[in-house]
Amino acid sequence: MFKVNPTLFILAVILWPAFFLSNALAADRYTVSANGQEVKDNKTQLTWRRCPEGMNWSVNTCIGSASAMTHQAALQEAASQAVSTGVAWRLPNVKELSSIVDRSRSNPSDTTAFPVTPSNAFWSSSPVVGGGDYAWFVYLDNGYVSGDHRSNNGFSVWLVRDSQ
Amino acid sequence: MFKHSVHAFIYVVLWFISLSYPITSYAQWLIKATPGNKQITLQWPPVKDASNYGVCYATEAITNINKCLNYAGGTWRNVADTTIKITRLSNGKKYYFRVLAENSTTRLGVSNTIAARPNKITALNDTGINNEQCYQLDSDTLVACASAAAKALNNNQDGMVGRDVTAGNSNDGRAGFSFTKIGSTGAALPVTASSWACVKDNVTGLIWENKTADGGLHDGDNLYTNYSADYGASHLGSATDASGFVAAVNQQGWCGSKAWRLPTADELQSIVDYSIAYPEPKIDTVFFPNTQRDMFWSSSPDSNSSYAWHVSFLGGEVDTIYYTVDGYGGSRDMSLAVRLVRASQ
Repeated sequence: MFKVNPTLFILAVILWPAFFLSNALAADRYTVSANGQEVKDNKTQLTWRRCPEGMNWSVNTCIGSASAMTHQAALQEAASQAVSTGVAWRLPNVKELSSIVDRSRSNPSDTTAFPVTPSNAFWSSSPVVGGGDYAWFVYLDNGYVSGDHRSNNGFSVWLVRDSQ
Repeated sequence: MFKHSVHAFIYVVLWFISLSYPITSYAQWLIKATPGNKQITLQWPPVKDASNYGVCYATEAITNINKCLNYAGGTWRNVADTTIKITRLSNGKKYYFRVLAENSTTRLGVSNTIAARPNKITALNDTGINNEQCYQLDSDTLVACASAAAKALNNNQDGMVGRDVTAGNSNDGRAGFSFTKIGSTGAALPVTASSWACVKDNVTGLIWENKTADGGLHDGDNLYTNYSADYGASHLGSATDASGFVAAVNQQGWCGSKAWRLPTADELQSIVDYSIAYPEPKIDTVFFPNTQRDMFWSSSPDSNSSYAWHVSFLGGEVDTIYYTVDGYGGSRDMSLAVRLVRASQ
């Protein structure tokens, strides 16, 4: 015979759905790394830095202020981060950047995965082909995707890498 | 002795309850299956007091997890963690999964059954940017991605990574794109087919409505408003509103399906080919002929309920605002092109 405390058992049976409802809400699209510094998107299999360049993860949020730079500086920043960390960080392409936006919200993507999303344009690695000196950018806080002069030094950078 | 029998009776009753009750009430315990290449990753919320999870998978529905090994392909695995990656599966084959939570004394419950097929599909499409479209230092002129100058600036540029590099076969769509022509009844057609009604994107798994130039329901020149329950609800179902168009195409059972819907902004953007220069439409016109060089409505709502997102196949932008010489507009009462989508089975 099974040694079961009937009262606890009945309670467990009754309360069971509640455990799963509460947990199901937390278990979703994004998985935060153990050190809190990266976020894996389970939908796209891409891994993102938790914070934009210029900001650092501290305890439970991103502190500092997002860097602003030209498109060329963004490509150089990505290359330099890849070398200094030994991790293949790169500038995301326009579809990758677009994929972390929740367009139904005025601000911004997923606030658990990405607690701080500056209301700034973010450079993608994608050129505007036939568009002269334009490259594609995405406003991560609302989802607007367009192109601008690569010499514009006011745009931010959010790095991505392929998951293992 | 009598007291002991009463306890035994209660235990037996509870045991029967434990066998029957979970089947319905534990439906809230949802396991999640994420398909991968020849593998499926299962995840589930932790169950209080559980020390072991028994995972059953088979190629037929698992109605009774106790009989796991009796089902076709029935396999049992035990894990302490709340996730398991099951490998060496066959792509495209349907597998069923069910999880049992227990500890050393008690069976705590059984999950729902979930079905999934392993596949090579990744959620994001390539941008289209190809191996001739990379940057070099201090220049806006695009150069070969294999050039030393491009690699010196950044060796992970758009044109250096992605499917255009790893699967750049242009027979099934430009560069990294991979499409299959679908006939009006839903059958996959050879790439050489001269007429087709829908296109399956083999990377995202989405199936797209093809546009025509015959003046009919699917004509590429047709324009629609995009009203919602919160804005212009009285127009919902109108033939000139996207909602009415969706209903008409589903009524038709186009390409063998009644699951057509307006795509999200991300889904629409997935078939934009950013390697194509203005003013040609930024899409593979071999597979998607009769594509308007202009804006297409998405289902993605804006935070402002009078607006929705659209994707331009002329410019490649994703936006809510519509700029004209007269100023700007873009609310849901604007008439734009529509291309419907559905998930593949």
